[in-house]
Amino acid sequence: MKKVILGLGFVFLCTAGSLAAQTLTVWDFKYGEVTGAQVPMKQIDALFMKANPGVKINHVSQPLDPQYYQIIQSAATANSGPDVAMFHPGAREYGFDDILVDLGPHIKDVKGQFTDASLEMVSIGGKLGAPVKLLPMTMQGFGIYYNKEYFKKAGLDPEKAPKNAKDFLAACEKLKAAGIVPITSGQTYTVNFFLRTAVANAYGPTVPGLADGTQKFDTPAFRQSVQFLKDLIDKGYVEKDGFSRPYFMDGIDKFAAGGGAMFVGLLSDVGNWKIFSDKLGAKNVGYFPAVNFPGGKYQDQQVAQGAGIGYGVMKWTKNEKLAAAYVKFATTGEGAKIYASATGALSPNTAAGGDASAYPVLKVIQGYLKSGIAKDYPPLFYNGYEDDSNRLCDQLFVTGTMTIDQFLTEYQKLVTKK
Amino acid sequence: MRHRGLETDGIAPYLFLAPLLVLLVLFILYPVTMNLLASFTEWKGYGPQKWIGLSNYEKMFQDQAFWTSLLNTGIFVLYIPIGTAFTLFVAALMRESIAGWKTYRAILYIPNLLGYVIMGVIFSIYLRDDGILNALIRWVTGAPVHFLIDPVLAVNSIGLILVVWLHLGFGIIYFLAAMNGIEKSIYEAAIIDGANFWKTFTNVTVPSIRFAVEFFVVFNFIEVFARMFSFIYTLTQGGPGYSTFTLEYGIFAQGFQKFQAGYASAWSMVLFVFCAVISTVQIRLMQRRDA
Amino acid sequence: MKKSSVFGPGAQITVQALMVVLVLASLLPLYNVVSSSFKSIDEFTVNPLWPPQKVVPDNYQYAAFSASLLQFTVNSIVYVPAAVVFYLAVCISAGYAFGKMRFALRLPLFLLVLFLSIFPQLLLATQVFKLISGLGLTNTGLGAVLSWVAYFAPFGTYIMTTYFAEMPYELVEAARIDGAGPLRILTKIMAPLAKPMTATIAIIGFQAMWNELPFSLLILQTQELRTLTVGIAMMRGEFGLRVPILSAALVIAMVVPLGIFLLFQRYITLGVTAGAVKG
Repeated sequence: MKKVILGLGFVFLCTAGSLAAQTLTVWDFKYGEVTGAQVPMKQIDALFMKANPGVKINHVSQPLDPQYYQIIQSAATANSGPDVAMFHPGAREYGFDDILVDLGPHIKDVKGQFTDASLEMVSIGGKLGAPVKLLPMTMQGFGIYYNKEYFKKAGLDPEKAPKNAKDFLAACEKLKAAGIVPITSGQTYTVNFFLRTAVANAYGPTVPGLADGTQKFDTPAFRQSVQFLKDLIDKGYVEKDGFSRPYFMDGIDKFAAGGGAMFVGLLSDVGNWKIFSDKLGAKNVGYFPAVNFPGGKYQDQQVAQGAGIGYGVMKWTKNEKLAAAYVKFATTGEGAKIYASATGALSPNTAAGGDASAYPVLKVIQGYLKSGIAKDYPPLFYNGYEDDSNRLCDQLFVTGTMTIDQFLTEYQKLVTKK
Repeated sequence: MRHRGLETDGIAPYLFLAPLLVLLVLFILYPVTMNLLASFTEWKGYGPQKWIGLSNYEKMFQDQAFWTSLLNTGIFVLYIPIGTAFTLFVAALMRESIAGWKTYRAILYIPNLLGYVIMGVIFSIYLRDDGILNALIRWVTGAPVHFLIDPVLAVNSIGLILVVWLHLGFGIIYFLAAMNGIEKSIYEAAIIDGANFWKTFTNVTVPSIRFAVEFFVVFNFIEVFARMFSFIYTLTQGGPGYSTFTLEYGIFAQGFQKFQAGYASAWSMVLFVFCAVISTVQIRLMQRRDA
Repeated sequence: MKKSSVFGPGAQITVQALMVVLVLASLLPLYNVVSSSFKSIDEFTVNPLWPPQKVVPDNYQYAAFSASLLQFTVNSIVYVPAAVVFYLAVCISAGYAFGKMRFALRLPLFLLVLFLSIFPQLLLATQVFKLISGLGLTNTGLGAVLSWVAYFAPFGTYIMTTYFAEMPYELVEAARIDGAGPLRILTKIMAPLAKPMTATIAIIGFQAMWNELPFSLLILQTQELRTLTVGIAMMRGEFGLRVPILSAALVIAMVVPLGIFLLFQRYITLGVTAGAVKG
């Protein structure tokens, strides 16, 4: 009799344990975008909770710039914190390898759905085949969107993107003459993103060489693009007002409201094909990935990050299986579809796709993604690289307190700086 | 503050002081000491610390950002006499019981009251090229003023706003009160002598509240060296480039953005020295006043 | 203050004009924020300056609920007064000790407290965080409150010290003759007499803690616990938040400080006054 009671008690305890409410804490730097990412994320959470009764998702919005990684660092010091957290794959995440769980054993069933480019970025050291620490949620990239109606108004062919630098400059002149702002800008990100597209065309498949020293920034191709951008700004083709906008979002909004003819935007998340198509009209948005320079080795390279943002499981979690399940849920199947369709993110998950039929510009983008991708260079470097890079760019492009030679020297120094 | 007699109050004073002292040792004394040690290490802010001797200091003295932050702080300091003089002037004006002075005093205190974080965000919207202030300026001169883009303007804007504008309200209340303490007889004698506002201001009012002025100046020094961070963080993030970078911001960028806590601690030590100097001056001023 | 005899009518007008300019300069940024907060995002993009053509409450909804600002306000309202109470207890007892009691280490300790009151929070932040996590107080209101009291108490103590020092020693003597012990003297006689100054440092302390950023940011890590100031500083998303929503958030954030100011204006003035006269 005693044994039966003990046995029953044991069974009861086990079931009671699994019936008790479990809370999963997720830290996210996109959840704070109340009109953007938060909407699909709430849906994803609701679905997950429905599929896993008794589980509560505590989704916490954290500020990104720049406290996010500091807060993660604090959590690491205290060895406690969220179960799941969002990261930027690439160098920023490599710094946290030791506090992230190896997702390998949990993702055997879904690993194949992700592109190699994305898996590479979420594995230790950026090496395909190394332990995977994050599951990627988006893939990111940068390029130049243009307003077809404005092109027409200025006497340019709306279906033809400027083929090269000369055409691009001519287009700007025509736009300005027609009273249209050629390039809408937002904070320093316009420069930041333009340089990324320029690097893609200047170095193509050799971009990783910038990190290991086999390639340098002071090359004729890159120099040309820097000079070109500077000229664009000096000639007033880039909206100077935009540099003092406190937030990049305002620049995005301005372009989406018809404030300018061109905009250096992103492929996923914000300032992307979906937002512009929705606001300007799906047939009205054109796209090209970069400005082609005469004599440049590479043309029309689409700069892309295999993985833009992703989720990882923290090593101190008490619910590793549940946390991993959540990560999988958000980045595959229904979860990935919801996020992608709501925000216009491009998913590196080949099973989730954007609807190209409703968005012609997406087809254009997908075409470029297929024909030639170049790696994005900032993720190759240390934490805080982008901030240092932006400050240097400010000095050359925005405030004019540096020469191009000085800029290139200092920019090269950043590679070895830490 | 002399006390009579040779008796002491036993251990009671120490008991009354215990909470404060415990908190101070734990939250200020200990961290400052640990910072000094950390400045000789390479450290992520968590995890192990590696001793590297004076490397951080070498790196710091070669870092352009470091010298720029010192320069910027110097520029802010230059605004302190301007701010003090202007505040004194406005306070003296109000003292003359001009109509509505109480309302003015209250409204001018509002920027002070709202704090650096809120004011920083408000000004980041207000000073934009396409913001409301520039709209007014464009109406008058046709071209916007690049408050936040031009490096020289940016640092001077912060100097003007933070040092002069955001302390005006507090300074007015403070100086008005101090001026109230001036003996009426001295003041009236000056008026009888036929002195106008300026003469009274410079010869009687200001000298009579010398201690208040000194403390206001010290207060401003503290704000510039040790309290500006929240404002710069919300307004310009140390930019454009490094034109509004300060020591405090450098500690933040290095320690919390780039996880180079050891290097950040070296910068902290420089800041510590400045603060120690200011603190000593403050203490000396107090001792002189009490003498 | 007697009516001015120093300014002629011409000068009076100039002075009034100057005041009006200063007041407008104070209020224009605030108007900007309030007016932006009622515009829809689309309208703001085309009309950033003039009053909204169509007043919408959406931004407040976003700010208060989706961005949890209402929750943050509640948190601030809970933590800050509690911290102020603790802070007053510390400052009054320490202030009395330094101001009126006699003990060997009085001067050196007082100078130490003064010395430590200046250091910027950033200098201390990493270590303070380590301490708080060592005590197991990360992500707790208590952790934040302790760090605030520790950081702001030195200045409050200094003010109370000067106040108590100015009080006549006879009060203490009389009480001792009556047989009162030091605790009684402090609580029954000195503290009540110090009410005006207590009100002052309470307000100064309240303002400082309400607007505190570095420590709160590190210690309070989840939505349920964050303060309003942290909430405002956080409103950036990955590329920044749109101005109308940000403006609504700012207006919400301004309500409590402005409200307190309107209610307690007298005390603020009184206290700063007292501080100024005594130097």
